[in-house]
Amino acid sequence: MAGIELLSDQGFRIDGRKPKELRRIQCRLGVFKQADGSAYIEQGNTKVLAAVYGPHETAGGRGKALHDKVLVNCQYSMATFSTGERKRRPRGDRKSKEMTMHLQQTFNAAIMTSLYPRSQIDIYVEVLQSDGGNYCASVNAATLALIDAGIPMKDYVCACSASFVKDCPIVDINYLEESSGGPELIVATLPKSSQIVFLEMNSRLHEDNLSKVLDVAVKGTKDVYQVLDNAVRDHISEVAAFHKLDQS
Amino acid sequence: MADDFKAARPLEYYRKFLEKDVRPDGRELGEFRPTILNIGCISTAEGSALVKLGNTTVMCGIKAELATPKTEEPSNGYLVPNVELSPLCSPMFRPGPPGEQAQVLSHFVNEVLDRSGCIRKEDLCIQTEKLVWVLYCDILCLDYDGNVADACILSLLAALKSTRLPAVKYNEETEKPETDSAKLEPLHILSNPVSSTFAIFDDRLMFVDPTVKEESLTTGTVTIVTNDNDLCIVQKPGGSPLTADQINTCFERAFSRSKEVLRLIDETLHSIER
Amino acid sequence: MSMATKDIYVPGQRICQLDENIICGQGTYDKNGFVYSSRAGYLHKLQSQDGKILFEVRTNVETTTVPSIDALVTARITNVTPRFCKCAILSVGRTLLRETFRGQIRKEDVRATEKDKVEMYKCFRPGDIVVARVISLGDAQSYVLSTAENELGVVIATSEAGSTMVPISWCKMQCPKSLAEEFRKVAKVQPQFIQYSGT
Repeated sequence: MAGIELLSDQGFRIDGRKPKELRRIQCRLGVFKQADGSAYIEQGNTKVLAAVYGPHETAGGRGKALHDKVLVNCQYSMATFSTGERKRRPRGDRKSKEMTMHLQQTFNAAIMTSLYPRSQIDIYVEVLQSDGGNYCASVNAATLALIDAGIPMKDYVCACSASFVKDCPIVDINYLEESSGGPELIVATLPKSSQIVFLEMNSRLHEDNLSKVLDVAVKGTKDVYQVLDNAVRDHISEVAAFHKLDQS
Repeated sequence: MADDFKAARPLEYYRKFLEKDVRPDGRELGEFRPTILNIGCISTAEGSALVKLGNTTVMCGIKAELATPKTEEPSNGYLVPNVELSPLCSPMFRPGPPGEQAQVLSHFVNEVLDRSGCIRKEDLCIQTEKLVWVLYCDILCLDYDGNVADACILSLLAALKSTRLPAVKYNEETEKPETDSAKLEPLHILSNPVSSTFAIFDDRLMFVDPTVKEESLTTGTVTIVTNDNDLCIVQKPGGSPLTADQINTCFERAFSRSKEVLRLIDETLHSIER
Repeated sequence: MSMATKDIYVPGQRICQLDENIICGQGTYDKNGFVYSSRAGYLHKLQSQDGKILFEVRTNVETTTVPSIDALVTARITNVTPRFCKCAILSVGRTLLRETFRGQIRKEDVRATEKDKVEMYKCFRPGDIVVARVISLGDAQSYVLSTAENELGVVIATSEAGSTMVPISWCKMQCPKSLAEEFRKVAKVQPQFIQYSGT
């Protein structure tokens, strides 16, 4: 887009961040009472809610139930007021269905599915305000919600996006940077073991630059992990303190 | 032990509390749950509000678009409300097209907007026969803990009050609208509809603002929408019969609730402007 | 004896090295010779008689469980037919479930003796609360439960007159208001666990 400098000469991005700097992340666990686990996350201006129900009996007859694993069911939905132009179909369009499938595959790898045969876990993600990095924020929110619900997982799942502008890899891209047409790499990892669970790349990127961008994105997920971990630990100690007060 | 009794015999559990004129969460029969209001939380929407009525959480977002008016009403804009009860908010709802309850609520919100006249459709007109505003009011329930109707109306009113629309002029020669995003004007809100829901238990007792557990045990409900000092809508869809006295007590409580709510909205709006 | 430590563990965090004395309990898993946590919570160490230590990671908040084989469950009877009865499982052990699971009790699993002479309508009625044991994960429809032990069977039942009945023998209960006796397969609950309320 002519006229908009994604990366200024001094090395600052449109919103004033340095190339390797993540947006500010604020998150909270246990925001809803009806859901077994819930979380709210704000990454810059992107606001996402996640709710987890389960494990419970498979809905829609036990025909779909797996005899040795739990069925992970996801739904990704964007609120109609979440984007600049009103979104006519909050879910059911191709992009949402693709995101839903990606989320399902990602979490199938992380949840210990063999513990709950013939049952179902539902993960619902709702994007309230969208400013780029929807998938990443959804994955992070869903991880927090699953931890809040007490569902056993092998590790956290943290996601981060990255792009390449003017020979410089930038991390955690927002909507303007996404729509400028540059390459977009989204990666979701299990941070402790540095294993990649999900990887997607759009647009063209020279193979020499690939490792640079991938490294920056994986480092981004480790930074995200720090923030999420702190939030989880704070939440656990708060809940324990609340219960002790309750019992005493 | 109390939890087991509550699960096995919910009706008996509730009866024991109601005999003493109190409810399991400690509220009196005429007491609403604590209400929290957060206005202007979504910056991509022209107006937004988040309401927490106890645990029931409802978010309303207002998006405005330009459109041509209907031929039979050339100087009227439109208001399109829509209520969504997604499976996110409760295990009762399944994914798929809007269920019965969501459709009934959408229709209810539409009635409230129509009858209360809080926004005049003529005010949304920019140029007769050519250009009008369409306000899409999308209400999303995030946590269903009973009494969603009251929360929806409250969030809608708060969101409408916080809506800022850019000034638009219709250029006669090019037949195109010219928006000036720098100038933002608030909507003209002519009246303040506020809703109060009462639940009937065991054909005799009435209490206000039922939670989801209470809703499943009630034998009937009454919803009253007041509009400043007038009654706007009274809805009693079947259920146990009531005497005129009981309905009069409901009216009084609905009016006093309306004052509480309007004060809350004003305080919240003032604190934002500061 | 369970000892809760002050340390918070999160999913994927390594707890310690795996050796023969350590058993991985709820909330933990083992991989590559190490014990990792799979949930967020406090670490509990339980010492069992044979010197083995059981590691568990949990919080005070109860999380949903799923009925497993040999678990004792509390269920509410929903349908009764001559061959089996359907019920809704309300809680597993002491944990109350958020959403009920479907269960069924077949005619031959109601009693341990005289299995073929059982009349379902004289053992259970819809609305009764029973304690049963899960014997199989079941088929496409529901879990299979059994009440073929003395301590299993109906614990709370409402008479036709509407009040809670009092058990008189292993197969009969009496309504305190109308003094009518009705047949049920009654659970023999230890006397010290019974608490009668004013009704």
